Amino acid sequence: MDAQKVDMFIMSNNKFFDSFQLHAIKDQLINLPEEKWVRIQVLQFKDPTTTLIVSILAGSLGIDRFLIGDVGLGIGKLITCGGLSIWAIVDWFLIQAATKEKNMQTLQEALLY
Amino acid sequence: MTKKKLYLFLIVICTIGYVWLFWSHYYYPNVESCLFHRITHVPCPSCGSTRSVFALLHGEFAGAFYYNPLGYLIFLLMLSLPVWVIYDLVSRKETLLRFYLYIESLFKKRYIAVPFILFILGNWIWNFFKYL
Repeated sequence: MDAQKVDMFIMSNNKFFDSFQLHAIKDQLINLPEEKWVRIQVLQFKDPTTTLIVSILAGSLGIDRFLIGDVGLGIGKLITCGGLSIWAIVDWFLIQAATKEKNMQTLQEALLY
Repeated sequence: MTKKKLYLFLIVICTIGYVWLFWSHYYYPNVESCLFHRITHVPCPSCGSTRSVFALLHGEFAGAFYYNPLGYLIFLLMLSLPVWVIYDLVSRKETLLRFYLYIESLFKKRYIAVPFILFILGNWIWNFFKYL
C-alpha cells in the first residue's frame, strides 16, 4: 500500500495503540493489498482516555471492563464490588494498556479477512 | 484473553478474596472495604456479600439471601475456581478458558444480558432499603 496512506493512518490513530505496536502495524500495512484499505479505514477503536475516565468514575461496578469487551471480567468486577476496591484501583493503571491491546486485536482481525 | 493472563487474574483475585475472608473473620476489622460506599454513602450492588458468605459458612441460607443473593454466586466461584485452575494447570488442558469464553459469548446475547442487568439493578435497589 501507499506509504503516504500508511503514514496518514498511523498519524490519525496513534493514540489508540502502544508505541511498540506502531512499528509492526506500519510494516503490516505497507505489505497490505490496496483493496483492503477501505476496510481498515472504517474500523472503530476504543479511546484509552475515555476508558480511563470510566474506570475512575465507575470502576467498582466493572463498567470499564464491559466497555472494552471483557464481559467475563466485568461481571467478576461487578459482583465483588470491584474486587474489594483493590482490583478497581489496580485497573486504573491497567485499563489503558488493556484498551490498546483490544484495539490491536480489532485491527488484526480486520487484517486477517 | 490469553490463558496465562486469565489464570493469573483468577489466582490473584481468589487469593485476595481468601485473605480478606480470613482477616475479617479473625480480626473483625473496622474498615469499609467498599470504595463506592465510602465515597457516595450509597451501598453498591454487592455490598453485604462478605456477610453473606459468612452466613453461608455457618449454614444460614436465609440470612445469606437477605444480606446479598450474590453471595451464593461468590461462594460457589471461590470454591470451584482455584480447584479448576489447578486442575487445568496440572493436566495442561484449557477447559476453564473455554468455559469462560462460552460464558462471555452468552452474555453478549440480549435475552441473557437484559435479565442479568435487571437482576443486578433490582438487587441494588433492594440494597438501598436493607439495613446493612
